[in-house]
Amino acid sequence: MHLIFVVCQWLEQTSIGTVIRESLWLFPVIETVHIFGIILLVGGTSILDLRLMGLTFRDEAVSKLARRFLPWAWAGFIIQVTTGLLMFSSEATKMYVNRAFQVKMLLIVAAGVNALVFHSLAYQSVGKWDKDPVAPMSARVAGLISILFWFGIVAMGRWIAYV
Amino acid sequence: MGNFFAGLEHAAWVMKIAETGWLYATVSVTHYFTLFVLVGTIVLVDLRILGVAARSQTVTQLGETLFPWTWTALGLALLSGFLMFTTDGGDYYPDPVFRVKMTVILLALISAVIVQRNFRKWGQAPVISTGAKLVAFVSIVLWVGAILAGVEIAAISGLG
Repeated sequence: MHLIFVVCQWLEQTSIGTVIRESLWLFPVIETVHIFGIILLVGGTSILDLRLMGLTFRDEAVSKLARRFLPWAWAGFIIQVTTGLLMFSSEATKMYVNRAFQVKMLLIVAAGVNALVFHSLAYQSVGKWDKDPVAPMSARVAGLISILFWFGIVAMGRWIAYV
Repeated sequence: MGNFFAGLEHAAWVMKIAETGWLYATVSVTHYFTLFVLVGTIVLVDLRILGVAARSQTVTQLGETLFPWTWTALGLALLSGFLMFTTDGGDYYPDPVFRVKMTVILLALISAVIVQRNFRKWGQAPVISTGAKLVAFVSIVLWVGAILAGVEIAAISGLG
């Protein structure tokens, strides 16, 4: 049997997974926190993405917006990983075969790679275009990809319930 | 009322939504996205009134930027929510958890209207009044409650 599936089976029968699955309140409370975490994470990244695309906050420096909103996005990300893992532990084997969940996880990895590539390439020269109302093409593309990935991640998260 | 909503389930356009998997999921995802804009913008202004977030901007500036998004999102949330409701209205209408959600949303919208009508006045005062902060705090609690109730409809009543 596949190793990941074995881990899923183990997670599901841990006391944490069992308690969350059997409670009428724990899962919904964690999901509510997860929803507010989305606002922090995707709200924060989207503001920066829209600025990179030159659609909003054109008179603000990119690095200033990044310093202001990325800490919120990171706080949101930590909330998402924590609450996400808790929910996952309660129905891990179900998620293992859920197409929407699989696509969501792939998109999260893709969004991470996109952010990493952006930070190690285009963002290195931010000093040259920090105050330009429209960022260079590579940064604009990174912003567009990022916002599409994150919206896709949120949509797939909801879609988990319908496959 | 209950009979009307039960009957509405059989309208052709309602059955089309209910029976087309991707269509129902798309309406649900729309509801999901609009709730982020609705609750996100409202809570951000509430946090500013409480003096917790976005302090580089005045309450007036923040409200004027965000509230058009709030009301647009509310319109879309009500529309997408109503569409989902119609597909199973006969079960939603009498459901106690659904009724709790509707009541909490009604109260939350009353607090949103109070903020909308007063935020410019509150923003001009040198110190934001305790009354204003109380409304903002209650608003946050109500929106958290509204989302929790929404999630509980599936968990407790098995609807949606």
